[in-house]
Amino acid sequence: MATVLTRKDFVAPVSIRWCPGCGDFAILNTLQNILPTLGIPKENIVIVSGIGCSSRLPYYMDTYGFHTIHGRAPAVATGIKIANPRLSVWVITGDGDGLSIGGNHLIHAIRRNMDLNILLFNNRIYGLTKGQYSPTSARGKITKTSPEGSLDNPVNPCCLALAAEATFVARTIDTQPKHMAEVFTAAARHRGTSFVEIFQNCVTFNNKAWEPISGRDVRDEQLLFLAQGKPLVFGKARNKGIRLNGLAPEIVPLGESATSEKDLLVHDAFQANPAYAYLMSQLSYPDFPSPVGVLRNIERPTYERELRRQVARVAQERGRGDLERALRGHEYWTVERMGREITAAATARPKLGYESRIMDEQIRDLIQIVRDPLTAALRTKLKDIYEKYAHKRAKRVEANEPLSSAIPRFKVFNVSYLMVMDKGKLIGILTERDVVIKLTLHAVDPNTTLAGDLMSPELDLLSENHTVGDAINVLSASGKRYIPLLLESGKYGVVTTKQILWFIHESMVEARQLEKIR
Amino acid sequence: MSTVDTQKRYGTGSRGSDSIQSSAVRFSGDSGDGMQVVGEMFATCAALSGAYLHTFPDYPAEIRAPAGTLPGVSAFQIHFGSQDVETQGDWVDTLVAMNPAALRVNIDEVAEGGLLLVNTGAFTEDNLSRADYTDSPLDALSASGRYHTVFVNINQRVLDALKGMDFPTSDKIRCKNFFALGLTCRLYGLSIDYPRDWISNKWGNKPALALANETALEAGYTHAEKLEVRLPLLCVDRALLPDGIYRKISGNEAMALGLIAGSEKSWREIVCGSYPITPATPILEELAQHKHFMVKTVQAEDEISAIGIAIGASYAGHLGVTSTSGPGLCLKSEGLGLAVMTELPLVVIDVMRAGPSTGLPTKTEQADLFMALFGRHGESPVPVLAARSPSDCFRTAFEAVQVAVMCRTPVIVLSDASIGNGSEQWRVPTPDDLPEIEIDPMKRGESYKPYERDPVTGARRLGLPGRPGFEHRIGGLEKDEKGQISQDPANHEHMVEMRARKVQAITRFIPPTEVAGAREGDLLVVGWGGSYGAISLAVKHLHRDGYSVGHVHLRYLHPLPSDLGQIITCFKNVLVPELNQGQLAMVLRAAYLRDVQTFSRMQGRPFRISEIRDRMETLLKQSSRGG
Ligand code: SF4
Repeated sequence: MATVLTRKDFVAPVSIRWCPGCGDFAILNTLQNILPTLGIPKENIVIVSGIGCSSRLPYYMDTYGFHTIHGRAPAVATGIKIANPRLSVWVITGDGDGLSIGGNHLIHAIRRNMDLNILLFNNRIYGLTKGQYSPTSARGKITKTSPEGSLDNPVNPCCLALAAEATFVARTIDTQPKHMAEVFTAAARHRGTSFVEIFQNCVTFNNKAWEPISGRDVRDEQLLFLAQGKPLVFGKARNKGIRLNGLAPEIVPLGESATSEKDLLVHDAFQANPAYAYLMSQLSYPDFPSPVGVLRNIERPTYERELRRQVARVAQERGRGDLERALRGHEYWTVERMGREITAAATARPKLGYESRIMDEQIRDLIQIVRDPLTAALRTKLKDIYEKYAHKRAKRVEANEPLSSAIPRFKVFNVSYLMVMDKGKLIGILTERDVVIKLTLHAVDPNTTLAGDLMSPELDLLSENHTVGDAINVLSASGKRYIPLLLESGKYGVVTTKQILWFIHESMVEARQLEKIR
Repeated sequence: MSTVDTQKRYGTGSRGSDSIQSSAVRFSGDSGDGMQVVGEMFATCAALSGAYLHTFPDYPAEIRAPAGTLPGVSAFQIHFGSQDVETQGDWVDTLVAMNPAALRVNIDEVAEGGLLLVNTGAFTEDNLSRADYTDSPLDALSASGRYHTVFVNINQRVLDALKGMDFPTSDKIRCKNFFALGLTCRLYGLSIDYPRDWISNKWGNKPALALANETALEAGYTHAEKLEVRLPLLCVDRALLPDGIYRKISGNEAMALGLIAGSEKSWREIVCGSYPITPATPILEELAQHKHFMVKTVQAEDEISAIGIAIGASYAGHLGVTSTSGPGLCLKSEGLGLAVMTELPLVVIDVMRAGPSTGLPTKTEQADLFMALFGRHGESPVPVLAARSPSDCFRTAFEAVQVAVMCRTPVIVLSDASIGNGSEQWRVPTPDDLPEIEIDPMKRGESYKPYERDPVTGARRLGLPGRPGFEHRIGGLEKDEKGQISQDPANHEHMVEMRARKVQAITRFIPPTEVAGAREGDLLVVGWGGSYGAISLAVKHLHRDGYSVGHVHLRYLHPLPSDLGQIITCFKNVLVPELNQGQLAMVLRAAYLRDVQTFSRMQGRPFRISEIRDRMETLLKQSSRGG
């Protein structure tokens, strides 16, 4: 039931409060245009903003939106994305919000490579507070708080993002809707933090701030449109290019007698080395045309994915947390008879041999009678377990091979046992334990002793149709850790204690989930 | 060489095997001497003997001050016995001092008639001068008659015991902490089975090391027999413990477990954004150890981001949590305001330390109450809960989750350095003892108004991102019920009232206030947080002595329990002991128009029982004279 979304689905039914003519309108429009094309369900889109003119944007989008506090949007967005990585999270910020009060959060969201799309509206002024110089205002900028001109050196947003090792850095302009749409789409597609600087015009407090770069009459000479795999060419007549002279870029004329395109730098946003992207971020007015487009686009694992993976791995290794056990901790003691009997957990550990004997006697009956999901799981056929862990096939050794050729296999295959074969038939299992004990205590010679001499012979093989319960029986009665299987195909396999423990563990988790569902 | 000051009084058995109700033992030495390890272990030995327990580690503020110096002294105190061990002990009954610096730093805390167990092997000229002693103080100490003294050259004894083992001398001497443990255990008649097991588990793969430490432990244990004292020298009563499973737990551990339990019971996975800060860091560390509970921890770039991450996670339907201490709470004020405005569940934990600013970063204080109650701009009501003891952090954290999730509000939990780092025995609850935390999720197709409220709790409902049909915008700007930005004056006033009323409505969840001691009479002592042990014992003792004194200990500091006003009217005087300049006292005065007395201490340490008792007695005398 994939509903086709249109631009209309993203327009919130409210009146927009930006000044007429503000560049923000074009950006909003573009966003509303591209979101329906991304194939993301509307409910999965969350727009998070800080404070400032730009940060009002979420209110105008009919999606989930969170208008947070000044500068903190990347932090809040980080929490959202960690909680629910399926969401497509957009951060809307401005030069003051993102680079001044929230500079730290911006840097850290980027270096973590959170999968966020950060759109920074750069209008080089504080708009909402009515015209004070911002961290991107040019030096000497005269504003209400800098009547003699600002003394601050401006921040270069793309350069800052690159310094934080951003995996995606782009720049676009509010007056170029098509270019904006391309850049936004590329940002949305990129996995990891996508940082997009948008030259935005504040018509009220900093009108025409970008005019020298993107004005209709100069833009051909002052903008450098980046295209993947294409040489860096610009100019109305496309007669200028950028070439590297040593480590310094220079503008060269193109044409019959002059340099050919082959000598020019070729745009490649996919380079692992950030030097080229940095170089692009440094090209600036008035000496160079300003590059727009995707400066850098590389892959690196995202934070939320890695975090999820860690959590999943720990949950798998340790089993889904059990509150009762966690509350007890590792070191606890039981008190009985009003404190007359106190037993430390460490000494209360049951004797394993005893346990397995009991299990051996009882398990067969239990499996037949008890209907709880976990016990029911013990009726599972070994075939299933075997197939489930089929990625780790048992390795073989011939009975007449010397130990010296068997031992390296433990290491090479990273296994702790080998099936010992004789004329295609499995006759026993050779474990690391067999080898260690015999080699050290009995000092046998590995070059002359054969695998068949040291193995534990296996006379009764289980079939695939035996159950997990049967296997546990055999394991507990024999004290062995591996059970060879004769497969229906006539081949051999091995089921290990480890696999059975895994299986039990998974069944417990399933049983627990079933319980919860009920 | 070991000298034993047999002190006739041991021979007479005036102490001897007469049993005592409780005893406070402090192991102290250089920070490299392993005092924390053996202190913890002694605590477990005591617990396994059937005692109640309260422990407190006293680390140096410096990570590694030069060996043997005063700032390098590390101590671990264990107070154990059959009853009245809710504090770490007013005074130290037995001081184990492994070097001169440890003796100098701790001697003033030792009770008159207390036992000094001193490692004379470390009383070299160098060590004496590092501890600012010109001469050895030992002779003067035993001559003073103020203490019982047991002087043992532990260094030498350990070398003797490990003779023939293939270790460098310096490594052998490192086993001296286990010698001291064995000796102390023997003096108290405690079994050393537990440390023995611990050693073999810990160094199972280094048998030589295990053997050395075990030998030192046993040498200490048997050395007691050579001391010509009656054994056990100190016999502490056993408690009548209710059956169950027990463990030792620190406040910070209990806090983390309480959050985890809350997460399990509310079906919300924890996302904890935190920034390391003493003394709250162990909460973040503990949570990070519990990923198998789907706990996700983020070590944020700063305190502000930490709370931002927690808020974002709560907005997306998880349980947002952030832990900090005072300076961090300052930075979280703005985020708290946002969580108040957007009415999202959030738990903020403040493990208080002495301030302002960096203050005494490892020492305790209760001076963040105002900050928690009022430290935000605008009308910004936040429920504030305080834990009274290490194990009580579990319940407090769990209740904080309950309140946060059910009322959709940020909640501040106050703990402090002494309960956060301190630990006690805890009868472990079973998960079934804990209530489920139910909420009413939006059902598909329901119409959604972000600020529509539950008529009883006043809580709004959460439309979670990712769920179709509930798309909406929230944020710091004031909204109307439908979630639209509203500058309407009447609406703002209405919403301010609704937010306050929602928090006030929490009083319906607060169980009736318990009054210990007298239920009416001359003096009510009202306390909160970590002063519980000292106040409860002071009141208990005076009540037993026939005074009509009562004790109320508040878990909810905002909103205050609805029956508190009534209880206060039943007493002629009200005293509020606090490790601050009277913050709760000011709140109570304002809330109930009563003349509330303040008893304030700001020395970076918990209250002593005796100082509260003295203060109460003074007040009682004054009022009986006056009345
Ligand atoms: S002040 Fe400037 S940035 Fe803000 S809405 Fe008006 S034009 Fe746009």
